[in-house]
Amino acid sequence: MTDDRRAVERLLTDQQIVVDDETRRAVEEWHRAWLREWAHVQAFDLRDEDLPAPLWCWPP
Amino acid sequence: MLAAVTDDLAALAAGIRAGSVSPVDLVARCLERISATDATLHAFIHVARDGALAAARQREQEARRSEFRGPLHGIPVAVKDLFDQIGLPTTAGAAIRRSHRATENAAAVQRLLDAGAIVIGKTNLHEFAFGVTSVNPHFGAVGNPWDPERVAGGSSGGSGAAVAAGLCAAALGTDTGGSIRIPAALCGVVGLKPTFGRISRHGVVPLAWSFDTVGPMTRTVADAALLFGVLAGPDPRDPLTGRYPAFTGTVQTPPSGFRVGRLRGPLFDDSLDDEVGAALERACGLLSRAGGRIEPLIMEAAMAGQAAQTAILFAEASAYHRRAYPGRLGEYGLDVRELLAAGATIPAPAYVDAQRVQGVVIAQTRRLLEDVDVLICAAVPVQAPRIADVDPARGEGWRRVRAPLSRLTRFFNLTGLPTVAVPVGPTRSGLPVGVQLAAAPGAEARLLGIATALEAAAGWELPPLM
Repeated sequence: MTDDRRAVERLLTDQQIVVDDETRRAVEEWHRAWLREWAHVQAFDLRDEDLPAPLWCWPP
Repeated sequence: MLAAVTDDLAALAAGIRAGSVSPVDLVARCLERISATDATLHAFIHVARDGALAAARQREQEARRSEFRGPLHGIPVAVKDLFDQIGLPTTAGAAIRRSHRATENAAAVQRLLDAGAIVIGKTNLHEFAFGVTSVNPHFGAVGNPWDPERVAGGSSGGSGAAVAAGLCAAALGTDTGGSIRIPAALCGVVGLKPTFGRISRHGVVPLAWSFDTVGPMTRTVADAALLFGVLAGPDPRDPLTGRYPAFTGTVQTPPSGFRVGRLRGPLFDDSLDDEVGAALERACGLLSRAGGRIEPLIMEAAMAGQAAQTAILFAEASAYHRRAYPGRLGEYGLDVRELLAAGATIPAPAYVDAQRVQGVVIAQTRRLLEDVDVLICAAVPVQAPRIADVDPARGEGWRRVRAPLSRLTRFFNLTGLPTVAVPVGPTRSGLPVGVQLAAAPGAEARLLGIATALEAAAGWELPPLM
Protein backbone atom coordinates (compact mmCIF):
# COMPACT_ATOMS: atom_id res chain seq x y z
CA MET A 1 0.00 0.00 0.00
CA THR A 2 1.38 3.39 -0.92
CA ASP A 3 1.94 6.17 1.62
CA ASP A 4 -0.98 8.12 0.14
CA ARG A 5 -3.33 5.18 0.45
CA ARG A 6 -2.22 4.55 4.03
CA ALA A 7 -2.76 8.21 4.88
CA VAL A 8 -6.27 8.23 3.42
CA GLU A 9 -7.11 4.90 5.05
CA ARG A 10 -5.93 6.20 8.41
CA LEU A 11 -7.82 9.48 8.08
CA LEU A 12 -11.07 7.71 7.23
CA THR A 13 -10.61 5.14 9.99
CA ASP A 14 -9.71 7.75 12.63
CA GLN A 15 -13.01 9.49 11.94
CA GLN A 16 -15.03 6.26 11.81
CA ILE A 17 -15.95 6.85 8.21
CA VAL A 18 -16.89 3.54 6.63
CA VAL A 19 -17.13 3.45 2.86
CA ASP A 20 -17.14 0.74 0.23
CA ASP A 21 -14.02 -0.08 -1.76
CA GLU A 22 -15.13 1.87 -4.83
CA THR A 23 -15.72 5.00 -2.78
CA ARG A 24 -12.41 4.53 -0.97
CA ARG A 25 -10.57 4.33 -4.30
CA ALA A 26 -12.39 7.45 -5.51
CA VAL A 27 -11.48 9.28 -2.29
CA GLU A 28 -7.82 8.29 -2.75
CA GLU A 29 -7.94 9.72 -6.27
CA TRP A 30 -9.64 12.87 -5.00
CA HIS A 31 -6.98 13.23 -2.31
CA ARG A 32 -4.18 12.93 -4.87
CA ALA A 33 -5.83 15.57 -7.04
CA TRP A 34 -6.34 17.78 -4.00
CA LEU A 35 -2.64 17.52 -3.08
CA ARG A 36 -1.78 18.74 -6.57
CA GLU A 37 -4.11 21.73 -6.15
CA TRP A 38 -2.80 22.27 -2.61
CA ALA A 39 0.65 22.86 -4.03
CA HIS A 40 -0.52 26.43 -4.80
CA VAL A 41 -1.01 27.00 -1.07
CA GLN A 42 2.24 25.27 -0.12
CA ALA A 43 4.06 27.59 -2.51
CA PHE A 44 2.19 30.64 -1.25
CA ASP A 45 4.18 33.10 0.81
CA LEU A 46 2.30 33.16 4.12
CA ARG A 47 3.89 35.57 6.59
CA ASP A 48 3.63 35.28 10.36
CA GLU A 49 1.19 38.19 10.42
CA ASP A 50 -1.21 36.48 7.96
CA LEU A 51 -3.75 35.30 10.51
CA PRO A 52 -6.58 32.87 9.86
CA ALA A 53 -9.26 35.31 8.72
CA PRO A 54 -12.50 33.58 7.88
CA LEU A 55 -15.41 35.78 6.88
CA TRP A 56 -17.34 35.12 10.06
CA CYS A 57 -14.55 36.58 12.20
CA TRP A 58 -14.46 39.91 10.48
CA PRO A 59 -15.37 43.15 12.15
CA PRO A 60 -18.11 45.06 10.35
CA MET B 1 -57.53 37.78 -17.91
CA LEU B 2 -54.79 35.59 -16.53
CA ALA B 3 -51.71 37.61 -15.80
CA ALA B 4 -48.51 36.04 -16.97
CA VAL B 5 -46.16 34.97 -14.23
CA THR B 6 -43.54 36.27 -16.59
CA ASP B 7 -44.11 39.90 -15.68
CA ASP B 8 -41.59 41.42 -13.31
CA LEU B 9 -42.36 41.59 -9.61
CA ALA B 10 -43.04 45.32 -9.58
CA ALA B 11 -45.57 45.00 -12.41
CA LEU B 12 -47.30 42.09 -10.70
CA ALA B 13 -47.39 43.90 -7.38
CA ALA B 14 -48.78 47.03 -9.02
CA GLY B 15 -51.41 44.99 -10.80
CA ILE B 16 -52.48 43.32 -7.56
CA ARG B 17 -52.75 46.71 -5.87
CA ALA B 18 -54.78 48.08 -8.76
CA GLY B 19 -57.05 45.06 -8.75
CA SER B 20 -56.18 44.12 -12.32
CA VAL B 21 -54.11 41.07 -11.33
CA SER B 22 -55.57 38.28 -9.25
CA PRO B 23 -53.32 36.35 -6.84
CA VAL B 24 -55.61 33.35 -7.30
CA ASP B 25 -55.12 33.54 -11.07
CA LEU B 26 -51.36 33.88 -10.65
CA VAL B 27 -51.12 30.85 -8.41
CA ALA B 28 -53.45 28.87 -10.69
CA ARG B 29 -51.22 29.77 -13.63
CA CYS B 30 -48.13 28.57 -11.77
CA LEU B 31 -49.80 25.31 -10.78
CA GLU B 32 -50.99 24.79 -14.35
CA ARG B 33 -47.48 25.33 -15.71
CA ILE B 34 -45.99 23.05 -13.06
CA SER B 35 -48.46 20.30 -13.99
CA ALA B 36 -47.60 20.72 -17.65
CA THR B 37 -43.80 20.76 -17.31
CA ASP B 38 -42.53 19.32 -14.07
CA ALA B 39 -42.68 15.67 -15.10
CA THR B 40 -39.88 16.68 -17.46
CA LEU B 41 -38.10 19.38 -15.48
CA HIS B 42 -38.29 17.91 -11.93
CA ALA B 43 -37.93 21.46 -10.64
CA PHE B 44 -40.08 20.78 -7.58
CA ILE B 45 -39.85 18.29 -4.73
CA HIS B 46 -43.05 19.51 -3.09
CA VAL B 47 -45.84 21.57 -4.64
CA ALA B 48 -47.99 23.29 -2.01
CA ARG B 49 -51.11 23.22 -4.17
CA ASP B 50 -53.82 23.51 -1.51
CA GLY B 51 -51.84 25.80 0.76
CA ALA B 52 -50.88 28.15 -2.05
CA LEU B 53 -54.45 28.42 -3.36
CA ALA B 54 -55.78 29.04 0.15
CA ALA B 55 -53.15 31.72 0.70
CA ALA B 56 -53.95 33.26 -2.66
CA ARG B 57 -57.66 33.50 -1.81
CA GLN B 58 -56.76 35.17 1.47
CA ARG B 59 -54.35 37.62 -0.21
CA GLU B 60 -57.03 38.46 -2.78
CA GLN B 61 -59.60 39.23 -0.11
CA GLU B 62 -57.04 41.35 1.72
CA ALA B 63 -56.26 43.22 -1.51
CA ARG B 64 -59.96 43.98 -2.05
CA ARG B 65 -59.91 45.60 1.39
CA SER B 66 -56.71 47.47 0.43
CA GLU B 67 -54.83 45.55 3.10
CA PHE B 68 -51.41 44.82 1.64
CA ARG B 69 -48.87 42.89 3.70
CA GLY B 70 -45.85 44.11 1.79
CA PRO B 71 -44.16 44.50 -1.60
CA LEU B 72 -44.71 40.84 -2.52
CA HIS B 73 -48.39 40.70 -1.64
CA GLY B 74 -50.04 37.86 -3.56
CA ILE B 75 -46.96 36.93 -5.58
CA PRO B 76 -46.09 33.22 -5.99
CA VAL B 77 -42.50 32.35 -5.16
CA ALA B 78 -40.60 29.08 -4.85
CA VAL B 79 -38.13 28.11 -2.15
CA LYS B 80 -35.15 25.77 -2.46
CA ASP B 81 -35.82 22.70 -0.34
CA LEU B 82 -32.98 23.60 1.97
CA PHE B 83 -35.12 26.16 3.81
CA ASP B 84 -37.50 25.19 6.60
CA GLN B 85 -41.19 25.91 6.12
CA ILE B 86 -43.60 24.96 8.92
CA GLY B 87 -45.31 21.61 8.50
CA LEU B 88 -43.38 20.64 5.39
CA PRO B 89 -40.37 18.37 5.08
CA THR B 90 -37.04 20.05 4.40
CA THR B 91 -35.55 17.20 2.43
CA ALA B 92 -32.37 19.02 1.36
CA GLY B 93 -32.76 16.81 -1.71
CA ALA B 94 -31.77 13.81 0.40
CA ALA B 95 -33.60 10.53 0.95
CA ILE B 96 -32.24 10.55 4.49
CA ARG B 97 -34.43 13.57 5.30
CA ARG B 98 -37.73 12.52 3.69
CA SER B 99 -39.41 12.23 7.09
CA HIS B 100 -38.15 15.57 8.39
CA ARG B 101 -40.80 18.13 9.36
CA ALA B 102 -39.97 21.78 9.97
CA THR B 103 -41.35 23.29 13.16
CA GLU B 104 -40.71 26.89 12.25
CA ASN B 105 -40.09 28.91 9.12
CA ALA B 106 -36.57 29.78 8.08
CA ALA B 107 -35.92 33.47 8.62
CA ALA B 108 -35.78 34.15 4.87
CA VAL B 109 -39.05 32.28 4.28
CA GLN B 110 -40.73 34.23 7.08
CA ARG B 111 -39.58 37.49 5.50
CA LEU B 112 -41.13 36.45 2.19
CA LEU B 113 -44.39 35.55 3.91
CA ASP B 114 -44.38 38.78 5.93
CA ALA B 115 -44.00 40.66 2.65
CA GLY B 116 -47.14 38.92 1.39
CA ALA B 117 -45.57 36.31 -0.89
CA ILE B 118 -47.18 32.93 -1.47
CA VAL B 119 -44.83 29.92 -1.40
CA ILE B 120 -45.88 27.74 -4.32
CA GLY B 121 -43.52 24.89 -3.43
CA LYS B 122 -40.06 23.61 -2.46
CA THR B 123 -37.64 23.26 -5.31
CA ASN B 124 -35.36 20.39 -6.18
CA LEU B 125 -31.62 20.70 -5.69
CA HIS B 126 -28.36 18.83 -5.71
CA GLU B 127 -28.40 16.52 -2.71
CA PHE B 128 -27.54 18.51 0.43
CA ALA B 129 -26.51 21.35 -1.89
CA PHE B 130 -23.15 19.60 -2.38
CA GLY B 131 -22.93 19.63 -6.14
CA VAL B 132 -23.31 21.74 -9.25
CA THR B 133 -25.64 19.80 -11.56
CA SER B 134 -28.85 19.13 -9.54
CA VAL B 135 -28.82 15.59 -10.93
CA ASN B 136 -30.56 14.19 -7.87
CA PRO B 137 -30.72 10.39 -7.42
CA HIS B 138 -33.69 10.59 -5.04
CA PHE B 139 -35.93 13.27 -6.58
CA GLY B 140 -34.94 13.30 -10.24
CA ALA B 141 -32.51 15.29 -12.31
CA VAL B 142 -33.55 18.91 -12.78
CA GLY B 143 -33.79 19.61 -16.51
CA ASN B 144 -32.72 22.86 -18.09
CA PRO B 145 -35.85 24.54 -19.51
CA TRP B 146 -33.85 25.54 -22.60
CA ASP B 147 -32.95 21.89 -23.26
CA PRO B 148 -34.34 19.43 -20.69
CA GLU B 149 -31.69 16.88 -21.61
CA ARG B 150 -29.10 19.26 -20.19
CA VAL B 151 -28.49 20.14 -16.57
CA ALA B 152 -30.00 23.21 -14.96
CA GLY B 153 -26.84 23.61 -12.89
CA GLY B 154 -26.68 23.50 -9.13
CA SER B 155 -27.10 23.27 -6.44
CA SER B 156 -30.16 25.58 -6.71
CA GLY B 157 -31.14 23.99 -10.02
CA GLY B 158 -34.83 23.63 -9.24
CA SER B 159 -35.12 27.30 -8.33
CA GLY B 160 -33.30 28.37 -11.49
CA ALA B 161 -35.39 26.15 -13.71
CA ALA B 162 -38.64 27.20 -12.02
CA VAL B 163 -37.98 30.88 -12.61
CA ALA B 164 -36.83 30.36 -16.19
CA ALA B 165 -39.86 28.23 -17.04
CA GLY B 166 -42.40 30.60 -15.51
CA LEU B 167 -43.38 28.16 -12.76
CA CYS B 168 -43.09 30.95 -10.18
CA ALA B 169 -42.38 34.67 -10.19
CA ALA B 170 -39.10 34.37 -8.27
CA ALA B 171 -37.27 31.86 -6.11
CA LEU B 172 -34.90 31.50 -3.19
CA GLY B 173 -31.57 29.77 -3.49
CA THR B 174 -28.36 29.35 -1.56
CA ASP B 175 -24.77 29.73 -2.72
CA THR B 176 -21.67 28.16 -1.15
CA GLY B 177 -19.48 27.65 -4.21
CA GLY B 178 -21.71 29.00 -6.99
CA SER B 179 -25.04 27.34 -6.28
CA ILE B 180 -27.15 30.40 -7.16
CA ARG B 181 -24.97 31.78 -9.94
CA ILE B 182 -24.29 28.53 -11.82
CA PRO B 183 -27.96 27.62 -12.34
CA ALA B 184 -28.77 31.28 -12.98
CA ALA B 185 -26.20 31.39 -15.78
CA LEU B 186 -27.22 28.04 -17.26
CA CYS B 187 -30.97 28.79 -17.05
CA GLY B 188 -30.79 32.38 -18.26
CA VAL B 189 -32.03 34.10 -15.11
CA VAL B 190 -30.53 36.57 -12.65
CA GLY B 191 -28.94 35.09 -9.54
CA LEU B 192 -27.68 37.24 -6.68
CA LYS B 193 -25.27 35.96 -4.06
CA PRO B 194 -25.31 38.88 -1.61
CA THR B 195 -22.50 39.92 0.70
CA PHE B 196 -21.75 37.02 3.05
CA GLY B 197 -23.92 37.42 6.11
CA ARG B 198 -26.45 39.96 4.81
CA ILE B 199 -29.39 37.55 4.74
CA SER B 200 -30.13 35.33 7.73
CA ARG B 201 -29.26 31.65 7.37
CA HIS B 202 -31.45 30.64 10.31
CA GLY B 203 -33.51 27.62 9.31
CA VAL B 204 -31.31 26.66 6.34
CA VAL B 205 -29.58 23.29 6.24
CA PRO B 206 -25.83 24.04 6.28
CA LEU B 207 -23.25 22.97 3.74
CA ALA B 208 -20.21 25.04 4.77
CA TRP B 209 -20.63 27.66 7.46
CA SER B 210 -17.79 29.76 6.10
CA PHE B 211 -19.53 30.32 2.76
CA ASP B 212 -23.28 29.52 2.85
CA THR B 213 -25.21 32.53 1.54
CA VAL B 214 -28.93 32.99 0.88
CA GLY B 215 -30.01 34.87 -2.23
CA PRO B 216 -32.75 35.46 -4.81
CA MET B 217 -33.10 34.02 -8.29
CA THR B 218 -35.27 36.17 -10.51
CA ARG B 219 -36.19 37.11 -14.07
CA THR B 220 -34.64 40.60 -13.85
CA VAL B 221 -32.07 42.55 -11.88
CA ALA B 222 -34.84 44.83 -10.57
CA ASP B 223 -36.62 41.79 -9.20
CA ALA B 224 -33.41 40.66 -7.50
CA ALA B 225 -33.08 44.07 -5.89
CA LEU B 226 -36.67 44.02 -4.70
CA LEU B 227 -36.33 40.53 -3.24
CA PHE B 228 -32.98 41.36 -1.65
CA GLY B 229 -34.61 44.34 0.02
CA VAL B 230 -37.23 42.03 1.53
CA LEU B 231 -34.70 39.42 2.65
CA ALA B 232 -31.74 41.41 3.97
CA GLY B 233 -31.46 42.75 7.47
CA PRO B 234 -30.49 41.91 11.04
CA ASP B 235 -31.72 38.69 12.63
CA PRO B 236 -30.65 37.97 16.21
CA ARG B 237 -30.68 34.25 15.40
CA ASP B 238 -27.89 34.76 12.85
CA PRO B 239 -25.32 37.11 14.41
CA LEU B 240 -23.55 37.59 11.09
CA THR B 241 -26.50 39.64 9.87
CA GLY B 242 -25.92 42.43 12.37
CA ARG B 243 -22.97 43.83 10.47
CA TYR B 244 -24.97 45.45 7.66
CA PRO B 245 -28.07 47.61 7.55
CA ALA B 246 -31.28 46.64 5.82
CA PHE B 247 -31.33 47.31 2.07
CA THR B 248 -33.77 49.92 0.85
CA GLY B 249 -34.22 48.29 -2.53
CA THR B 250 -32.88 51.33 -4.34
CA VAL B 251 -30.09 50.67 -6.78
CA GLN B 252 -27.56 53.33 -7.68
CA THR B 253 -27.40 54.73 -11.19
CA PRO B 254 -23.85 54.00 -12.34
CA PRO B 255 -21.67 57.09 -12.20
CA SER B 256 -20.23 58.42 -15.42
CA GLY B 257 -17.03 56.59 -16.19
CA PHE B 258 -17.74 53.75 -13.77
CA ARG B 259 -14.78 51.43 -13.54
CA VAL B 260 -14.97 47.72 -14.34
CA GLY B 261 -12.10 45.45 -13.43
CA ARG B 262 -12.00 42.47 -15.76
CA LEU B 263 -10.37 39.59 -13.90
CA ARG B 264 -7.56 38.01 -15.89
CA GLY B 265 -5.13 35.19 -15.29
CA PRO B 266 -5.19 31.38 -15.51
CA LEU B 267 -8.14 30.95 -13.17
CA PHE B 268 -10.37 33.31 -15.15
CA ASP B 269 -9.08 32.90 -18.71
CA ASP B 270 -8.05 29.28 -19.17
CA SER B 271 -10.33 26.75 -20.84
CA LEU B 272 -13.20 29.13 -21.51
CA ASP B 273 -15.67 27.78 -24.05
CA ASP B 274 -15.43 29.95 -27.18
CA GLU B 275 -19.02 31.15 -26.91
CA VAL B 276 -18.67 31.88 -23.20
CA GLY B 277 -15.57 33.93 -23.97
CA ALA B 278 -17.41 35.75 -26.75
CA ALA B 279 -20.30 36.52 -24.40
CA LEU B 280 -17.88 37.97 -21.84
CA GLU B 281 -16.26 40.13 -24.53
CA ARG B 282 -19.72 41.29 -25.59
CA ALA B 283 -20.63 42.15 -22.01
CA CYS B 284 -17.46 44.19 -21.60
CA GLY B 285 -18.24 45.99 -24.84
CA LEU B 286 -21.78 46.73 -23.73
CA LEU B 287 -20.58 48.12 -20.40
CA SER B 288 -18.03 50.24 -22.22
CA ARG B 289 -20.72 51.69 -24.48
CA ALA B 290 -22.84 52.32 -21.39
CA GLY B 291 -20.13 54.60 -20.08
CA GLY B 292 -17.89 52.18 -18.21
CA ARG B 293 -14.11 51.94 -18.30
CA ILE B 294 -12.88 48.36 -18.57
CA GLU B 295 -9.42 47.51 -17.28
CA PRO B 296 -7.70 44.19 -16.74
CA LEU B 297 -7.01 43.07 -13.18
CA ILE B 298 -4.77 40.27 -12.00
CA MET B 299 -5.53 38.51 -8.72
CA GLU B 300 -2.11 37.31 -7.62
CA ALA B 301 -3.47 34.86 -5.07
CA ALA B 302 -6.31 33.48 -7.20
CA MET B 303 -4.97 29.93 -7.56
CA ALA B 304 -4.00 29.63 -3.91
CA GLY B 305 -7.41 31.04 -3.03
CA GLN B 306 -9.11 28.39 -5.13
CA ALA B 307 -7.27 25.64 -3.26
CA ALA B 308 -8.10 27.29 0.05
CA GLN B 309 -11.79 27.42 -0.80
CA THR B 310 -11.75 23.72 -1.62
CA ALA B 311 -10.14 22.83 1.69
CA ILE B 312 -12.49 24.93 3.81
CA LEU B 313 -15.66 23.87 1.96
CA PHE B 314 -14.88 20.17 1.98
CA ALA B 315 -13.65 20.06 5.56
CA GLU B 316 -16.71 21.91 6.89
CA ALA B 317 -19.19 19.88 4.86
CA SER B 318 -17.61 16.65 6.02
CA ALA B 319 -17.58 17.85 9.64
CA TYR B 320 -21.28 18.74 9.53
CA HIS B 321 -22.42 15.44 8.08
CA ARG B 322 -20.20 13.36 10.32
CA ARG B 323 -22.10 14.70 13.32
CA ALA B 324 -25.54 15.13 11.77
CA TYR B 325 -25.80 11.65 10.20
CA PRO B 326 -23.03 9.48 11.68
CA GLY B 327 -22.44 6.21 9.93
CA ARG B 328 -25.07 6.82 7.23
CA LEU B 329 -22.94 7.74 4.20
CA GLY B 330 -24.25 4.69 2.40
CA GLU B 331 -27.67 6.35 2.18
CA TYR B 332 -26.35 9.31 0.23
CA GLY B 333 -26.05 9.53 -3.52
CA LEU B 334 -22.79 8.21 -4.91
CA ASP B 335 -21.22 11.59 -5.70
CA VAL B 336 -22.08 13.36 -2.42
CA ARG B 337 -21.00 10.28 -0.44
CA GLU B 338 -17.63 10.39 -2.13
CA LEU B 339 -17.14 14.12 -1.63
CA LEU B 340 -18.06 13.99 2.05
CA ALA B 341 -15.61 11.14 2.64
CA ALA B 342 -12.99 13.11 0.71
CA GLY B 343 -13.47 16.11 2.98
CA ALA B 344 -12.48 13.96 5.94
CA THR B 345 -9.00 13.56 4.45
CA ILE B 346 -8.14 17.25 4.74
CA PRO B 347 -5.73 17.64 7.68
CA ALA B 348 -6.36 20.26 10.36
CA PRO B 349 -3.19 22.29 9.58
CA ALA B 350 -4.37 22.54 5.97
CA TYR B 351 -7.68 24.00 7.15
CA VAL B 352 -5.79 26.61 9.17
CA ASP B 353 -3.51 27.46 6.24
CA ALA B 354 -6.56 27.76 4.03
CA GLN B 355 -8.07 30.34 6.38
CA ARG B 356 -4.78 32.25 6.40
CA VAL B 357 -4.80 32.32 2.59
CA GLN B 358 -8.44 33.40 2.77
CA GLY B 359 -7.41 36.40 4.85
CA VAL B 360 -4.73 37.39 2.36
CA VAL B 361 -7.08 37.03 -0.63
CA ILE B 362 -9.79 39.04 1.08
CA ALA B 363 -7.33 41.85 1.77
CA GLN B 364 -5.97 41.80 -1.80
CA THR B 365 -9.48 41.88 -3.24
CA ARG B 366 -10.51 44.79 -1.10
CA ARG B 367 -7.50 46.76 -2.25
CA LEU B 368 -8.44 46.05 -5.88
CA LEU B 369 -11.98 47.20 -5.22
CA GLU B 370 -10.71 50.57 -4.02
CA ASP B 371 -9.77 51.29 -7.64
CA VAL B 372 -12.79 49.86 -9.50
CA ASP B 373 -16.54 49.86 -8.97
CA VAL B 374 -17.16 46.26 -10.00
CA LEU B 375 -15.29 43.15 -11.10
CA ILE B 376 -16.40 41.13 -14.13
CA CYS B 377 -15.71 37.62 -15.34
CA ALA B 378 -17.61 34.78 -16.95
CA ALA B 379 -20.03 32.89 -14.70
CA VAL B 380 -19.61 29.32 -15.96
CA PRO B 381 -16.71 28.49 -18.31
CA VAL B 382 -18.54 25.71 -20.13
CA GLN B 383 -21.96 25.19 -21.65
CA ALA B 384 -24.53 23.13 -19.77
CA PRO B 385 -23.53 19.44 -20.03
CA ARG B 386 -26.00 16.69 -20.88
CA ILE B 387 -27.62 14.98 -17.90
CA ALA B 388 -26.76 11.55 -19.31
CA ASP B 389 -23.08 12.49 -19.36
CA VAL B 390 -22.91 13.65 -15.74
CA ASP B 391 -25.33 11.34 -13.95
CA PRO B 392 -23.27 9.45 -11.33
CA ALA B 393 -25.54 6.45 -11.82
CA ARG B 394 -24.46 6.25 -15.45
CA GLY B 395 -20.72 6.86 -15.33
CA GLU B 396 -17.76 8.93 -14.23
CA GLY B 397 -18.57 12.09 -16.16
CA TRP B 398 -19.78 13.98 -13.11
CA ARG B 399 -16.23 14.04 -11.75
CA ARG B 400 -14.99 15.78 -14.91
CA VAL B 401 -17.55 18.61 -14.83
CA ARG B 402 -17.68 19.41 -11.13
CA ALA B 403 -14.54 21.53 -11.06
CA PRO B 404 -15.16 23.34 -14.38
CA LEU B 405 -18.77 24.21 -13.57
CA SER B 406 -17.78 25.89 -10.30
CA ARG B 407 -14.34 27.16 -11.30
CA LEU B 408 -15.30 30.83 -11.72
CA THR B 409 -17.78 31.20 -8.87
CA ARG B 410 -15.91 29.91 -5.83
CA PHE B 411 -13.50 32.85 -5.63
CA PHE B 412 -16.44 35.08 -4.68
CA ASN B 413 -17.49 32.72 -1.91
CA LEU B 414 -13.96 32.79 -0.48
CA THR B 415 -14.04 36.58 -0.41
CA GLY B 416 -17.69 37.08 0.60
CA LEU B 417 -18.27 39.68 -2.12
CA PRO B 418 -21.78 40.43 -3.38
CA THR B 419 -21.88 38.84 -6.82
CA VAL B 420 -24.64 38.69 -9.41
CA ALA B 421 -24.95 36.45 -12.47
CA VAL B 422 -26.58 38.30 -15.36
CA PRO B 423 -27.65 36.59 -18.61
CA VAL B 424 -26.19 38.34 -21.62
CA GLY B 425 -27.26 36.28 -24.57
CA PRO B 426 -27.61 32.85 -26.13
CA THR B 427 -25.11 30.51 -27.66
CA ARG B 428 -25.52 29.46 -31.29
CA SER B 429 -27.53 26.49 -30.06
CA GLY B 430 -29.78 28.75 -27.99
CA LEU B 431 -28.44 28.06 -24.51
CA PRO B 432 -28.14 31.03 -22.14
CA VAL B 433 -24.75 32.45 -21.17
CA GLY B 434 -24.20 34.62 -18.11
CA VAL B 435 -21.45 36.78 -16.69
CA GLN B 436 -20.66 37.67 -13.10
CA LEU B 437 -20.35 41.14 -11.63
CA ALA B 438 -19.01 41.58 -8.09
CA ALA B 439 -18.56 44.60 -5.84
CA ALA B 440 -17.16 45.47 -2.43
CA PRO B 441 -18.85 44.02 0.66
CA GLY B 442 -22.10 45.86 1.36
CA ALA B 443 -22.14 47.54 -2.06
CA GLU B 444 -25.22 45.78 -3.46
CA ALA B 445 -26.76 49.11 -4.51
CA ARG B 446 -23.76 49.90 -6.74
CA LEU B 447 -23.50 46.32 -7.97
CA LEU B 448 -27.14 46.06 -8.96
CA GLY B 449 -27.05 49.49 -10.61
CA ILE B 450 -24.27 48.41 -12.95
CA ALA B 451 -25.94 45.04 -13.44
CA THR B 452 -29.11 46.90 -14.48
CA ALA B 453 -27.12 48.83 -17.07
CA LEU B 454 -25.64 45.59 -18.45
CA GLU B 455 -29.03 43.91 -18.51
CA ALA B 456 -30.59 46.79 -20.42
CA ALA B 457 -27.75 46.88 -22.93
CA ALA B 458 -27.73 43.10 -23.42
CA GLY B 459 -31.44 43.02 -24.23
CA TRP B 460 -31.83 39.45 -22.93
CA GLU B 461 -35.39 38.45 -22.20
CA LEU B 462 -36.88 35.18 -21.12
CA PRO B 463 -39.59 34.10 -23.54
CA PRO B 464 -43.09 34.20 -22.02
CA LEU B 465 -43.50 30.46 -22.18
CA MET B 466 -40.81 27.79 -22.19
